[in-house]
Amino acid sequence: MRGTLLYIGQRLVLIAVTTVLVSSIVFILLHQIPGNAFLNETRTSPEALAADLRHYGLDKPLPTQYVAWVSGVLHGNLGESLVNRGVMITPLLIRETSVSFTVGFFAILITIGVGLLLGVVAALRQNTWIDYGASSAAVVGYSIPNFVIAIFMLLIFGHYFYDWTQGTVFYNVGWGDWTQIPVPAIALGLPYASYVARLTRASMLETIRTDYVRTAWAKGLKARIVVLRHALRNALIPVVTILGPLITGIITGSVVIENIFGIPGLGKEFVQSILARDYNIVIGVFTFYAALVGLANLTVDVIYPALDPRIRY
Amino acid sequence: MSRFAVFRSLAVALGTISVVAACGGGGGTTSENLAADQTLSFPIVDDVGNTDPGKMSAGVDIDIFRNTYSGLYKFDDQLNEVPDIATGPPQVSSDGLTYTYKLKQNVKFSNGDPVKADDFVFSWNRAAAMQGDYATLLNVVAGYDDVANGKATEMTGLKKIDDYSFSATLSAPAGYWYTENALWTLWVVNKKIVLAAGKATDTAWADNPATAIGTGPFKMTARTPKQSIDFAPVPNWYGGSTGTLTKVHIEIVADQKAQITKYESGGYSLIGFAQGSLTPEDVIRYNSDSQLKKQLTLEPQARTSWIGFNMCEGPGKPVKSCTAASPFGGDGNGKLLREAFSLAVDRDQLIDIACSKGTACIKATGGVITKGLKGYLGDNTDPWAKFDKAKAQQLLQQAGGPSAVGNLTYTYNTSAQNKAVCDNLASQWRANLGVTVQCAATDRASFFNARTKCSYPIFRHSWGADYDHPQDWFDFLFVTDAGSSGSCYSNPALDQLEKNANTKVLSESLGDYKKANQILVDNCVTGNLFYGVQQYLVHPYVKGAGGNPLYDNYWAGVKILQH
Amino acid sequence: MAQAAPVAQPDVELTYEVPEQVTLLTDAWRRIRRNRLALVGLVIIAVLFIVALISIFWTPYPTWLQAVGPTYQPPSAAHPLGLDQAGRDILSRIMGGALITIQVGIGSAIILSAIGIPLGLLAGFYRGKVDTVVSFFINIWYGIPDLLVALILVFVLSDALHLIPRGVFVIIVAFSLTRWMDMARLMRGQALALREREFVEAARMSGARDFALLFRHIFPNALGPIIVQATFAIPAAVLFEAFLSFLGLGLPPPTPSWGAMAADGYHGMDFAPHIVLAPTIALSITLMAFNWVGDGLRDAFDPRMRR
Repeated sequence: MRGTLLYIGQRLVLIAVTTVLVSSIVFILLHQIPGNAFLNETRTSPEALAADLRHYGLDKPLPTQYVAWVSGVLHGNLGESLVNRGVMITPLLIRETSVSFTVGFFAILITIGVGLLLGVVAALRQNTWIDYGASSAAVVGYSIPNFVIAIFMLLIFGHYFYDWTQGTVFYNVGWGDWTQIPVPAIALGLPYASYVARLTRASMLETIRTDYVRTAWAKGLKARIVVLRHALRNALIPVVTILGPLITGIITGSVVIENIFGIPGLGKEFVQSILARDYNIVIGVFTFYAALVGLANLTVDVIYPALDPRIRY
Repeated sequence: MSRFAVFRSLAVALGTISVVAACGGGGGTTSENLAADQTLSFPIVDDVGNTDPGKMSAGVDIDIFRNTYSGLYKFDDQLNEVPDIATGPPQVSSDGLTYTYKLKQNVKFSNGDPVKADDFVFSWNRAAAMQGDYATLLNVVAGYDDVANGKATEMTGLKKIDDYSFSATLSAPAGYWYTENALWTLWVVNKKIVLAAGKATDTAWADNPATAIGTGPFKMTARTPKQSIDFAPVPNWYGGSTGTLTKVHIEIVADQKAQITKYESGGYSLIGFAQGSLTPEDVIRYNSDSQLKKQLTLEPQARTSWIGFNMCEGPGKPVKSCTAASPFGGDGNGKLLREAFSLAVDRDQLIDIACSKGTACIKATGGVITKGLKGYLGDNTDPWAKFDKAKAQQLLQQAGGPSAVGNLTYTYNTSAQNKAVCDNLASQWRANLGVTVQCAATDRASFFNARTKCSYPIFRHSWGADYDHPQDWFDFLFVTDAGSSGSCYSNPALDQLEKNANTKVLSESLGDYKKANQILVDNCVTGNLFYGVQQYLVHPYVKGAGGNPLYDNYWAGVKILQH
Repeated sequence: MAQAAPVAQPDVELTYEVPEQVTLLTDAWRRIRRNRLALVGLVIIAVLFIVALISIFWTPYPTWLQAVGPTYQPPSAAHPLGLDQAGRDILSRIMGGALITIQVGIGSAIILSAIGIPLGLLAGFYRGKVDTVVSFFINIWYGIPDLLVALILVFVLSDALHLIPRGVFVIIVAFSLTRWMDMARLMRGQALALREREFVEAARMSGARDFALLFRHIFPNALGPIIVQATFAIPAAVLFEAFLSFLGLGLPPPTPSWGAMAADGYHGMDFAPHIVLAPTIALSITLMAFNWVGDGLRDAFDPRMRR
């Protein structure tokens, strides 16, 4: 137990360092943009511009700004929006992160669920048309730009379902109640199911080929269920190894999905802040992302031993 | 910078162009019952930028908060200037310099505080000190410069006379000052509340529903930044009835397809308030279906878009900002090139492609001032707005051929319509002139900054009039060293005409302004492209929505019928 | 000592089957040939190249010419794929897009290999300080949403600082700068493993210099996984460009990249589906082809499947 706690502690420190490092890179990159352009205001008088630069601390030299910013980050203060005066960034991003987390969580459930299903089906029917079909269906998922998939789903579930069911069952754009979660979650998670499917298939094939499994399989339905449970458990292990990149992929995908489905989350904020040139928010979003991904990877690494007893830290 | 128009007499002249939906304007049939839920909901693409009237500049912000703040005057539905908080038009001294305003005595803020002259003087002084984009509206008031520079906090020209009257003394006669009195920068804020929340120039009080106190019929009740804003009518509003709505819910949804999907499933009452717009495909879809067309209203908008040409002839010539010669500068080859580039554009094709088959704009054939505004030259009076491929090629050859322009980049601020316009212009110039022009998009602020410094040889320009007065166009765009010029154009004859005209009353000066406009046309200073159209998509059960050429109808006039 | 009498050799010709000497590549090629999906993929990629080549010299209509016909016109005899929202011929633009896809996809794969392979080789072979630095970067980057960082890079380099104009080059640079770590990690692993092998020892003992060791002995033996990795990078790069187009940070108009065409047309999916479907189908077929080929290559180079 002590070993695990020590390990977690070390990782948390590493996460903090990584977070500061990654967001520092973004901070320095974006601050190459000169002060008044950074501010993105169309001030007509030099006095007004000067006052605004002072307000945001942009009149100081870059090292001073950096130090002030880092100490702000360590205290949890990410500053004020450049475009929407008066809007403080940290509470904004915290609220939006909880939104994104909700959708993302269900998206991952879908990714893993659908991926496992496709992988198992493909493995059990190896080299038949079902296998090819399932594998190809999965590949299609990540060969199409996700905004095309998203708009397709928006139209089907948001518009055509409304027409077909005379307004009783349909997807309602926006954010407010739980019925608005499934459709975006599916659009977000489905494209990545193929990665899980491929791993599951390979792992299932390995497991199924062993002799004792084949014997058990021949014994009948009840034995088959036991076999499947065992095989699935083994299949989950490689899936957990890609959970990190999977989460990263979900985060990247959420940028598009949240925009198209009108979900006020971190991904939408990322896009809007870039389009609006609100650099303070862009830096803030990256800081959040770096921390989130680090924490997600840590969670995965902590869960991993529970699944595979062979691993010990 | 783009300014959004707030003027009136358009409705009459532009009325012929608008296609009115079945549910525009009030006066519904008496047999219609009101719905139980009187919530008006609509989407906007971005959150508001500034909630403080002293800083406000974006059309989105103004169109929303015009329902919560008000000032001395406003414009009625026929776009005539009428008193709002003032008792009547101002008393003007014989030298035309001093305007005296009297306030109604029953006016109250939404928290019950009475509105006094102190509040107005405070509001106008802080607007000058805050130096928002529209602070220059006050620059004719004596003492403005010192406040703008931070050397003083009060303009010497503003004087309180008693609790319910005050005067403004100008530094020079300005016929347009009265019109400016109706604009948002001169709205009144509650001095006590603002000072209780911080310094006079702080804006935080306006972001917080508890302290965002104004004199309008509605007040902000909730705000979730970047997500939604809610408003409710002011109970016991001094001005009488606040209409039938019980709530106004504004959602921030970035994707236009998501917006219209929600509209079509009944989630929004309308799309189009606060500068909302539709995707070209959706507009065309609605416009071409006889049933759906009833939900679409197209209002002419007081905005002109044109091709901007850089008129610099060399470093410092003709204005200081010029750093290098532009191929379009001067009266020789430059003029030939400007004419060639303008004649080579088939505007019918342009508005078909870039304006959703002509639903989002109309051709600009009468000069740079929008049709229907004072100073418009008349239909088809602009010879360079016609399409003449042969003549364009001939002019180009005279000027030296495609090599005379070299590698050109046409820059614009990022927006879907600007992109579509540039793509089409580039295609037409390449097909009709054999000249290849690159299209480059830039964010709004960088674009405005660079354009003001005359950094672009050819660029997108547009102007949305703030009020129906040609001065609004010439002073900001076409006089020497004009603040939003972008072209560094300088013509002493035009400057003189303009200066004289500004001192006179409009009825006397209109002829001069038209002459000035004609000078612009004669010299092909701008390649005029089109005049704007505002799109409204409104459900049949929403009455009193839509708008007029300068703004959306006030929320107080909207009601939701049973559906 | 008396000389032994020469012993007569038995007059038997020894003939026995020697396993044919095959190189890695021949073996791989043989196995790919048996993988149907991979073959289909190769055919599609060949078609892609041919179309791209043709498009340099000829397309039915210029890809930039607007108002060739009415906007949004569905497919017809004159325009088999229809016209887009500006009245441009979609078939011509799809052809032009093939060239862009190749430039972005293969260009990115090449550049990120050019960065990742040497760094990975050096890290794995020399270990020590070089390894620490390279591994540090690889680990820091693990799990960071690299596409988002690449997006910021494109934005900063092009729009904010105007260092590199918008175009294929800045996209390749940004993508490669955030993706070389995977290639480097792979190469490092290979180098670490291979440096212990006998043939490397042998070469070293015969006096081969480090450079020769790296590039003549270690690198070729790691070729298999490298090619697989590079092949999978291609669809990622092409989708990255589509992602940029969606955000308005993609290639400058009127470049007919498939991603930009899809981004322009997706809003009108219910009104004029052909505008978004044509580039989307082109993209999906091409990217699936690269994925199938990548899968086939991975199976082909898998030593466990060697007989």
